[in-house]
Amino acid sequence: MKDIILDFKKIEKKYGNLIALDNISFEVDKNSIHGILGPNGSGKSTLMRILSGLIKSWKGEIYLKGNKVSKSSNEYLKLFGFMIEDPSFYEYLSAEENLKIFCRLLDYDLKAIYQSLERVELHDWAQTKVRDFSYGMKQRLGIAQAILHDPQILILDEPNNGLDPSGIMDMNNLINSLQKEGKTICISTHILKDVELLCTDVTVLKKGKLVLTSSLKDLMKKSKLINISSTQIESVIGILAENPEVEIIQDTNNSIMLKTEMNVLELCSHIPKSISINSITKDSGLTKLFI
Amino acid sequence: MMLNLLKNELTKIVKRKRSYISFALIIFLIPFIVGAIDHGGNTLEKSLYGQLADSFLFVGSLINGYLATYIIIAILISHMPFLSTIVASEIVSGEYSKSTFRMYLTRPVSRRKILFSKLIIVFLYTTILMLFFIFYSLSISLIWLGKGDLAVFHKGLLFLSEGDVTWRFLLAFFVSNIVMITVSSLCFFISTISSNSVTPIIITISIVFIGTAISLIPIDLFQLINPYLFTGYINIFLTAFYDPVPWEEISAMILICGLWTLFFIILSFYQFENRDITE
Repeated sequence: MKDIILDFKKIEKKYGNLIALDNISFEVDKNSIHGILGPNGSGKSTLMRILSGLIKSWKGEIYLKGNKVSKSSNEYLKLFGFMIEDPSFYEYLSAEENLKIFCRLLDYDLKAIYQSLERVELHDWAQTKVRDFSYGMKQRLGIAQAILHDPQILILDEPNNGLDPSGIMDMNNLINSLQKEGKTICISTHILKDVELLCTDVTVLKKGKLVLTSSLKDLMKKSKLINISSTQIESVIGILAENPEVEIIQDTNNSIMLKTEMNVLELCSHIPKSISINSITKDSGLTKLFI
Repeated sequence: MMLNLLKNELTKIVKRKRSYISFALIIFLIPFIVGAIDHGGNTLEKSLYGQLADSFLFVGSLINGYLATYIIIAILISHMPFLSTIVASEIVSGEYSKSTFRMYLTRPVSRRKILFSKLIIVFLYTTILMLFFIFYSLSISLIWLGKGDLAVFHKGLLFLSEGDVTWRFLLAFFVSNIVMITVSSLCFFISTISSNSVTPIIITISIVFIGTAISLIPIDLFQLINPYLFTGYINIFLTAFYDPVPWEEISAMILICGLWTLFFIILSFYQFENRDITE
């Protein structure tokens, strides 16, 4: 039986005539990494702002551990740690002073500051003014402020935004380790790879509408899409095109995406061993949904 | 919790260079004016005596620390709204524009409490600034020019004895501060609407300027509404040096400014508590 920690029901938000969120309903399982995927302007940040209490006027209901979240009280925020969009700190204050401000808001022990700075490997920069931080350091400090009070649920809006590849790897490792500690994590992103690498569940939004909500495992199971990468891709296409069970959907440089009822192993058996294959992987189908 | 919120707001104000601009200006400007008064004392005395010098013989000098302070306040009081709104203009709008509310408001603390802590800091800043302005002027003037009777114009030339002056400066501080707090409240309210820190200052100063113009233009309609505008009381400090002190006028000012302040505060809270933070 699923242990649902967050339940969004019929969430609606309009900015004038523009519908930012249209009847969005989905559930977030406890201890999951739930990716909210969508292109820019799909309503991901709006949804996170609603949950965080930054947006006041909206329709619908949110249930936290089965209890309806009251729009007039923000006590429920104790369970959450947020990083909404780019982390914006008081630039004229040091990292430590910034976190002190958030500690005081939570009436929380100041010792937590060094623990969370250590967690994101910023303890050596505690006394440095935030204005001297790189973007990646600010992102990490954003995570530090979000985990300061050891919340049960983390809401991270585009945590990998603007990070270099090693920064992305560090961030993903951090998110994974936080999940292993029992936290539930919601990540909004427009990067498909992030979702496929990190998430256990995914919700896809497009122009404020819900396109899909599912676990990644189910999505993979149901998907009939397979990616093949090879330096001899023309030969692969030549062989598979003759197979009536295979439909080639996309053909790009040295790789193809195809639709088939066969699984990866069955498909491999149709390709002669003389053809060198770099990779054959099942595709979740998120790319198609995203586009 | 309120104490923690106040600590937060104090940290933000104390650590910003911008908060000290007003104090720095006063520190440098006052000795300059006092020096100028000392240097041009004769001319000033002549203008104070006016035609009285033809009928009376004056022994000693009218120029002293009290008169210098009185003149400084008279010159600078109409400019104090610029200085007293430096913090008020930025305290909310600055957090919109820098997007710091995206983190600050996602904590389990009510917006009402957060805004209240900011309001207290604005009032505190305004009060400290006014206190500093009047008593720094007094200190520098007394050190430079010494003590003596204070000569002011009220129904002719009025001499206030040395021992009768200090409490009047305290009263001048008290009444001017009430008006400045109303001006700061207006700026604070605009700060809750605006997403940049310059707009609140521009709008506040424009309103003070228009209000002051209304109080100066001798048109019946303007004269009728002037007592109900807080801007008509910018020079209220003068009444502290009348003899007798017009307590009724001061009470009316406290009531009018108090009502305006309350009005701006209610609007600020309504605006802030219902606003979607999209910045």
